[in-house]
Amino acid sequence: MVKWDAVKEGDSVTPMVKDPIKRDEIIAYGNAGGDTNPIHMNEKAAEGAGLGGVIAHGLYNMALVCHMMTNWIGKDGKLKRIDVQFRGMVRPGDRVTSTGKITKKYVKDGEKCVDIDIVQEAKTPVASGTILQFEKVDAATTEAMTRQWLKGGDNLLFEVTKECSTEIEKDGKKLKRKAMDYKIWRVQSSILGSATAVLS
Amino acid sequence: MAEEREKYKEYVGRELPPGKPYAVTADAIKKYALSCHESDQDYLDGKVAPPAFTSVYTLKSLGGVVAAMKGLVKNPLMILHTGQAYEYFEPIHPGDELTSSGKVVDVYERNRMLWIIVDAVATNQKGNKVSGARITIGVRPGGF
Repeated sequence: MVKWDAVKEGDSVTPMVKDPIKRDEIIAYGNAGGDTNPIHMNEKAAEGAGLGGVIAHGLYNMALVCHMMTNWIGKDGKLKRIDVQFRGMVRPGDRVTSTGKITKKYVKDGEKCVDIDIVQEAKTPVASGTILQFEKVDAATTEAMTRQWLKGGDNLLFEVTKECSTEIEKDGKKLKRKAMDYKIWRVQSSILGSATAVLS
Repeated sequence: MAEEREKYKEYVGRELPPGKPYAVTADAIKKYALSCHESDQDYLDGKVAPPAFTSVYTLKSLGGVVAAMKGLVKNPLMILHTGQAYEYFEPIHPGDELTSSGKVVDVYERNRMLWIIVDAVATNQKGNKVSGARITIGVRPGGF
């Protein structure tokens, strides 16, 4: 729970990371939320509508943002207003991260308020595998690797998911070499918006 | 970017057909809270609705944007929900009966898509305003 006296403009809201979204979760949200539009519930219908498969409800993505906000605000405060634009489609397998930053801190009608800018990013897995680790993996290396494998991808994120070892054959001999499992994500904004919270 | 408004002006101001009042139950709150991975026990126990629950009664108690746009939106599968805003006035509890009323406040064409903006207000059984909503819908080419 956050206190109004303890925050300042520029501070971040505690982010909320949602593990890769499952199709079942989208269907469960559609049933609970009362929006069973086939583009969310039925793969064939979504493909027929030119979407290339089911997409999560914008309101589901917004619910994840609301969850982040209420967790951060705590029981003694309240969410007063939220306004979002759904900027990108979120699909099964995407990992969604909601974030917020305080843009204004003020008192209005006796309430201790903060305005928040909201950004939610969806990361879509586009490649994964195991590669030998020839050198230390730093930011420049991963950027170069990402560029090499996926040309023209401005919003790509390279992530080492596990340090491991693998066997290679050289001159008829099996050798053990350090390796790493990696994943490459395409990153896009799924939500941009703002909110106003009253804090205790 | 140029926006085409003139040919859609007859739709602006249309009231959305009101639906039946939405009776809030603890089960509906629990189911919704679970579906969006809420961790607050009060939401999971269905004692009070999380803010995002507004989507449920706004959708259920409105007759539908498509009905208000009869003759304009030809293929509902081409509709994309592109924005949503809420303002909160009172918390929602089981036993509340919520009625929403909505009105089309803007319709225009931009970037080959049709944009429809709807404002909605929900009141409870005491006549108190509990929430306001602004819904933005984009209809893709071929859908209007």
